[in-house]
Amino acid sequence: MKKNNIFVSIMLCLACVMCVFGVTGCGGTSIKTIAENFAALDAEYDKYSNIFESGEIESLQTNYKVNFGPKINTYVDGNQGNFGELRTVYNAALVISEDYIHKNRDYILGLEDDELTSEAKQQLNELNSALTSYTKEIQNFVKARESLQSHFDDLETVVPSETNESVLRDFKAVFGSLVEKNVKLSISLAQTIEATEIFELLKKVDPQPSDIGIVKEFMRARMLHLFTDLPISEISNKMTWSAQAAGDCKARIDQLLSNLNLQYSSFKQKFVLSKAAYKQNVTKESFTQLLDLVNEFFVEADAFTRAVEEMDFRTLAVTYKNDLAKYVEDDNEFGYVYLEKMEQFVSITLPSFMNNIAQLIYQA
Amino acid sequence: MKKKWLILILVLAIIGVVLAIVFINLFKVRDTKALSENLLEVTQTGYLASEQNTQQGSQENELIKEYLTNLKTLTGELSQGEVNTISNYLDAYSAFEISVEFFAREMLFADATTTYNTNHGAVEKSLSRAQKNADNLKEYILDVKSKTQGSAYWTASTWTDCKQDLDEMIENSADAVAKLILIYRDSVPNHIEHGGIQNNGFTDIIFDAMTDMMEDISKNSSQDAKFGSGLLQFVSAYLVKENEHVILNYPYNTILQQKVKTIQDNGKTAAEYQGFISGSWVTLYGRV
Repeated sequence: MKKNNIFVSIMLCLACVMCVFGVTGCGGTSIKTIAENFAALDAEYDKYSNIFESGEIESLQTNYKVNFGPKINTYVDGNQGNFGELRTVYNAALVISEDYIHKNRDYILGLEDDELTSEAKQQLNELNSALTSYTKEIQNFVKARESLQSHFDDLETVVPSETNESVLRDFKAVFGSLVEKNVKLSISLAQTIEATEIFELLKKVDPQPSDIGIVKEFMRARMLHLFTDLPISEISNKMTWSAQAAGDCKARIDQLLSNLNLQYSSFKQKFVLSKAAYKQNVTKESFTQLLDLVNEFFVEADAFTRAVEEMDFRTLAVTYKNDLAKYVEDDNEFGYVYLEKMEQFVSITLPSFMNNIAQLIYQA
Repeated sequence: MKKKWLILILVLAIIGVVLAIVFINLFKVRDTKALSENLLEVTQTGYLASEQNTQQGSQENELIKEYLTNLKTLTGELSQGEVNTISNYLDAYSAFEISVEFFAREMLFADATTTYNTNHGAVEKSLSRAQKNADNLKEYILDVKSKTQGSAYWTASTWTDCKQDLDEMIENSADAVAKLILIYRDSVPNHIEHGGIQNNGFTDIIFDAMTDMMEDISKNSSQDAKFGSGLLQFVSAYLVKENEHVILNYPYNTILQQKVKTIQDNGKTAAEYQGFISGSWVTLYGRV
């Protein structure tokens, strides 16, 4: 009888635990844990201070200028072959993303756990996951950098088993993953800040120029991936795009990438490098209008992101040799819709939004 | 012993509830892709597959349009009311092709809201019924064409035979579009308001106007032949891919926002209404 009671008690406990975990998840992350993990990230950067160095990229002073090693640095700085992108695309995105994280993480670290809304607590879990995932990725990046260096260092003495191009592509995939995770971390930080309901609070007070700055910082963190997802994650990391089959479809995608790059430059000028002063004497109405426009833009931006995710560029280029009609017929019936959505977003929504916001936030 | 069974049942019940919650979440409709697929199929290979949508068009689509085009010229044999109805149906048919194609594109990026869950089945049913009506029409037209060897199949008497399927095809298509409007309106955020201007105010007035025009075609089609052409002109202005930039630019165009607000406040009596209905706003406010 006793044995039965023990069995039944265990079963009841298990059922209750399942219910509780099912509803609440397996525990929350505290601000203290986030602070510890940011410290661990800083320690990781310190450990590799010979790789992440101080310098200037895209007119931004940074501690994340990657030292690729003397030989590769020469290729990168000399913009040799496909090496230039390591600095202008990959490293630049990392620097912009890190710049946001550094300027804004103290806001979260300065809060108390009991001040947080339940949504903010949930976001804190995601922030923690993004933070630890990024910190771990640094190790992979360091290893990939070493492999890249040794391949090019050994070239004079050993016949390489892989081509230079494929070694560089492999390295870009790892660097791309590092950038992607850092950008995710900055987005997660921005979403956690939003979840503290700071924007709702700001709507109730007379807006100060610094409040506009908070919105701008949030916006630029949320926007950065729009410029990196497609060229880095979907194109460069998965293939050598320039070597893919030419034709109407490739020309269309080239045009899309070129337009996106143009908008990226505009984004950097307006929202990352701009030293223009924020508007004074902003009314509550125009501040609310600014927040509304930002929210509204991200609805369209989500559609763009979804289109980028759903369009399998590698399959289109490699399997279907950039034959869009065949790709739509055999693989992805929405191929045209996704590509058109991307084109529409990049040529209409993105420039309209950025021009409008710049007019709203900066003094003329 | 009884207690032991009771506890066991309780444990099983708790596990059952947890599993039910897990499965409900697992099979919950999360996106609107299924409806987009259905709409795409209708506009690519079904009765709404026009030349504009597919570069080729379906045989069914071409045949019905050819038949209606010829039928409406028989002014001597049909009453003016009948000719009006046929003209309206022909233009409305083309307007539905454009509208459903618009929703096929947009629905893919919409949220799966409660309105979507309630209505997407009804949209598919209406389109399926309209497809059936189109199939019947195709069969009938081909049959008459073969019997008369293409010489006089579009005589006035055939109109009586195919009227019911045409009425129903238009009615079912209008019903599907009306429900698509409901889904679209609910799935894109409409709660944002700044300076008294609703975020989707522009699409709101577009869909309100469309609803009115479709109602005229359903209820008063014999009174005037211009209801269908009005609807076609209107959707061609605002819903075709090439002109969608007007809707996309609305949040950044204060002039357009003001015009929309005036129409929201004053309805059809607003001075701007005629320009809006005629579609001239596309060239006036298309680019910021």
